Amino acid sequence: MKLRGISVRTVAAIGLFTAIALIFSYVEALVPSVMIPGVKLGLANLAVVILLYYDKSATALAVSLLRILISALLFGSAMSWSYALAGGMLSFAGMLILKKTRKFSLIAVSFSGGVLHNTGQLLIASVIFGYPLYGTLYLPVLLASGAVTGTLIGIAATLILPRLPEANRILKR
Amino acid sequence: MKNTKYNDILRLRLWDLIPLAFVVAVLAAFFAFGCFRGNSAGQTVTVEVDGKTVAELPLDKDTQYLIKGFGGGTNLLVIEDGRAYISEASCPDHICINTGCVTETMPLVCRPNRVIVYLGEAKP
Repeated sequence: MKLRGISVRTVAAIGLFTAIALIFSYVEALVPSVMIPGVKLGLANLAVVILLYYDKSATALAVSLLRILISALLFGSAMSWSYALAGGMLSFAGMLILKKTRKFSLIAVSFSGGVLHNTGQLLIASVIFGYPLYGTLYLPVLLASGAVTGTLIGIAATLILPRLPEANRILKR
Repeated sequence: MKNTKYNDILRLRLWDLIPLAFVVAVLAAFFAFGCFRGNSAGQTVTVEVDGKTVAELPLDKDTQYLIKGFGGGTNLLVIEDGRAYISEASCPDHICINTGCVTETMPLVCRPNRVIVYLGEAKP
């Protein structure tokens, strides 16, 4: 069954994965950032990374956009939305390109995603504050934390992905 | 039951070193620089010798200033690209040079010459 060219299975998959991503965001918002203020694990990205390999990239993009929009409505503000959108889209674009080259492992793709996510946030912060922040001490801190969290998400995805049921059986027909 | 379909993308390979090397290179470049270009617009650097303010210099104008310290010692303060650091000093330990650039939380201090260089207006 098709709905404007999108299969109902895809719609259901987007809903399912968006819900998982939002639950991750919620759980993460409950745990205060203990190490460095503003540094989070980015668990919601786990759903996006897994979906990037599990289904078509368009599905992963839809989940990425939806979860950023909805989590801003639920937990954030217009300000946090612009940060999350810049970070999320730069990270998604980077991961998609690296994945398409078929030369990198999932962990390397997730690693780059984490780094690019924080880079995007720093870029948008520079625009908002009106002066380049990327020359400040923030950059090394954010690069390193993005690298660590991206790698952790990549490891988690590596463990989960092979244990999921065959995508054909639940997503496509 | 593990799905073996993904084995290829999950396997780590030599190519993975490229993103890693890129990030490490950027981090290394920053730490090798030792200085981070800050928001220099409208900021001032204040030079104090033996508790008295001797100079206030704008951070956004490249200049060099020879600080005449207590007891005849000197420190050469360099301001360029919105960063301020001491490039030459007469003192034996060179702690002020090794501190790198002045930041909000890290003033440049030369104990032998009783020199303090800090970011911000002169304190009354």
